[in-house]
Amino acid sequence: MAFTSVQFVVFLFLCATVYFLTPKRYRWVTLFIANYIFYFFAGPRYLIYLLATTITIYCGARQLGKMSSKNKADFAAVKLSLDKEEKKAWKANFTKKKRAVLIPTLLFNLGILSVLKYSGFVGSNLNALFARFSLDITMPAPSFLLPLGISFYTFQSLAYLIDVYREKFEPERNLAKFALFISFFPQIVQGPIGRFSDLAEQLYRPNGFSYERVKFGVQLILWGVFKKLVIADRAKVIVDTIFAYPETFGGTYVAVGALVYCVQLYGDFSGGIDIATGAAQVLGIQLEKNFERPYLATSIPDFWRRWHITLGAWFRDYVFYPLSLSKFFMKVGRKGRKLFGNYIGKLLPVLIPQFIVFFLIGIWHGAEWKYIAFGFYNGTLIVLGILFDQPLKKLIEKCQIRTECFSWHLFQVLRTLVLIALGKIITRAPGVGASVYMTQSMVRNWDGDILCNGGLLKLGLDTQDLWVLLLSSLVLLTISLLQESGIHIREALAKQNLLFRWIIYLAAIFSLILFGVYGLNYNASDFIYRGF
Amino acid sequence: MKMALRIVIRCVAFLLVFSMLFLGATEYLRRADDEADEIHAFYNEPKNSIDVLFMGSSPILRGISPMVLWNQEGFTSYVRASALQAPAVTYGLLAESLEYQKPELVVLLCDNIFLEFEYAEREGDLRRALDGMKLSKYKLQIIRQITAEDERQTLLSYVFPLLRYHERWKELDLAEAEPVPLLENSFKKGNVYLRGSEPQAYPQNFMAPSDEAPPEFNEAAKGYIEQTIQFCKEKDIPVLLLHLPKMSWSYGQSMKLEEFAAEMGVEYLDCDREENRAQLNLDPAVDYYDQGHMNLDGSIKLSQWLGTHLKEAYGLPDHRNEGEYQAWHEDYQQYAERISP
Repeated sequence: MAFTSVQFVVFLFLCATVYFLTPKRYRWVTLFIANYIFYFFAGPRYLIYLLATTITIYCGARQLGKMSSKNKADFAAVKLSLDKEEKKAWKANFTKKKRAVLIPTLLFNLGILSVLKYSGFVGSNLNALFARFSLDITMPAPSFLLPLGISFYTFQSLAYLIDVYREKFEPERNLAKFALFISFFPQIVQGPIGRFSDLAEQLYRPNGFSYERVKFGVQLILWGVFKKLVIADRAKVIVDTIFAYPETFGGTYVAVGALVYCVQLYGDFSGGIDIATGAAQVLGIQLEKNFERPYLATSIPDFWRRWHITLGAWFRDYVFYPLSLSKFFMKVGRKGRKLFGNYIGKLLPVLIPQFIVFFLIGIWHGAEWKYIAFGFYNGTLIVLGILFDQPLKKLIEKCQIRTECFSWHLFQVLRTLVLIALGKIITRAPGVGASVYMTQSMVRNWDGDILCNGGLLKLGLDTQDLWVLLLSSLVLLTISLLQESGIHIREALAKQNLLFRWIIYLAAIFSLILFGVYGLNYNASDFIYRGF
Repeated sequence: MKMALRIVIRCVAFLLVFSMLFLGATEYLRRADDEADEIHAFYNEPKNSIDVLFMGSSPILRGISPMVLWNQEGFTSYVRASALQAPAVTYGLLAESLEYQKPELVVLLCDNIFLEFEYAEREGDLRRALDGMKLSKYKLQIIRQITAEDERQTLLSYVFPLLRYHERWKELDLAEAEPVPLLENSFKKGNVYLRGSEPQAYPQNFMAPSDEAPPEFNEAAKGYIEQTIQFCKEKDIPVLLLHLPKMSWSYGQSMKLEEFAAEMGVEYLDCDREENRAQLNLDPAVDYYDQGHMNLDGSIKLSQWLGTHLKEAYGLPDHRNEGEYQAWHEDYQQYAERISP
């Protein structure tokens, strides 16, 4: 059930109607049932994976919760009789016991994800390696259809388990309620990855009907559909053409392709997130923010704070900090200081985990070398950014470059955008080799004339479509700039006169109907991040 | 409560404005089409005022002129046909027509019984018929059939054609664009004639008896035609299976259709049988638009001959002197003016 389909609109309408008509005490049950109906439509056979994750994480978390409660009681009883060393030993022993529950549960769930997502990739690469060394070994390289949202719900449930392990909150006792948290239908498809502490209470409480909130939710859905159908799917035509024929469309076309792919990916992913957030808002639930105008970022780290925020936050909290603050990396830091000096040695416990995080973010996107290369590309940029941060600041100071002005800010934004667009070439090109070829071609065969001599008309869109893409992208940019300056669009619109509001609403709806890329002339395209 | 009422009123008002704009946009962007127009204009005919309904695909659409039949014999008729009409559409269109009219006779062109209808490749033909139809259970049945056969097509795009034609703004000169509502009243009564001609010649041994096995019926098409005939029988309306002149026809096909008609207990009339050809006296050099369709001259000759046959065989009434049918005289005048060279 695609977010832009009529079925989804009908499903959401029915779900909201039944939800608000259900007695308050049982509203969460309505949501729970709706989630499983939604997931059932995606493919009944995939339910087994969702159920496996739900049950194992639930049991693991419950066990951890029980252990913590018992430990608290036991420890309180003997606390006064223990000296410092004994307390330390008690804690270490308890941590060991908890890990005995945590690690198998984590491994089981990461195992499902890994087998389904990566076994084919690993198998085929091992086979290639064996063949290279003339070894007569053949590994199975199966190709599985990924269950809907597996990367998202696995990460969401792992975060919950780790938080229970860290005793941030008590585990949920009710299995159905926990299942509701894992499977909330607007976010299971492509995020945002929710945290139990933010989401659970909202899901379990009986949300009442609010006209204003429903209106805002519907507006956000419309905006999301606009980004997907008018911008992203139109941009897709150009992107598909350029990246399908890199030898034909070299030089400037590559730059056009990379830039338009940035627009497509943002329209597609953030459009999907807007629809999810709007749908949740209709039901009275506020999902976490997943985008904050990423292309207005002034640096690569800033970009990653604005793009897919919940994934970045997940890796920060559950990979980066545990690694960076681990005993091992503390040791690495100390040794690094001896070997490379204070400046680099101090940074090593940050740099290496950062690199690992971006490597993992890369492979999270898919089991292909290009995603690994994408991870390395971003990791390298981040590491270089950290390493050269101080020297560059000094250089800027020496050159007396003003940094508190618009032109410097614009330079930073454009520089970041160029780096991001180069990274997009890696993920969109058919392979790593192709992305290198295309980037070289862009530099070597630059020909600005194609932008004015009708060269853009070779990319699958006619003049009117190009105008629609340009104007709708400008609308997106304008809205982004307004939001960046602190204006809340929906709230500001709500303060306007009825006539003006209706004109805006109708213009938005009719722009979707008239300019949306849908119907028989186009192949229906799925949301890109749904595939991750 | 007051607040809730205000919200409801606002929502209803917004939906009304939206609907008006949506309908307006549909009329601007609709692909104007004679066949859809003629199918739609049928609804404006006074209830139970049509004596004969002609159903089927393009040969009957081009070849039968209800105005000629009216002028010559005085009975009323309407052609509810469209190019390469799918048997499912013929069935739905007939069933729907019988909600509005109770004809004395249904004439069914069913050459398509030999063809496999590729729904996925015939979207244009399907829309010609369906765009003219009002929303009804019969239209929904046809849409269900189409969407089952071609998953790219959607129910909504047939119910709201704007969702199909939404891109036509690119083809319009917005400064001169005008709304194109569906036709409300037709003087041609469903006939979409073709001017011009392409000289034809009968193939060697045309309609000569031969031992060659005729092509098989398409089972799906046959099923729908059987349903259509059965539906008429239930309504106590006689059915005439008709074959109109075309160059790519064989004696075997004719005999097979005759057998089928006999099995179904209905009459079969084949205009390409020698005895009928002799009476019809068509001139292949001037009366054909192409191999399979009559042009305007051919359609007049054909309608004149068929009118006589139908009048005699089915005892159809003559309304020419009845006051309620005066509009038909006016329509004929318009038709006569239009067809004059």
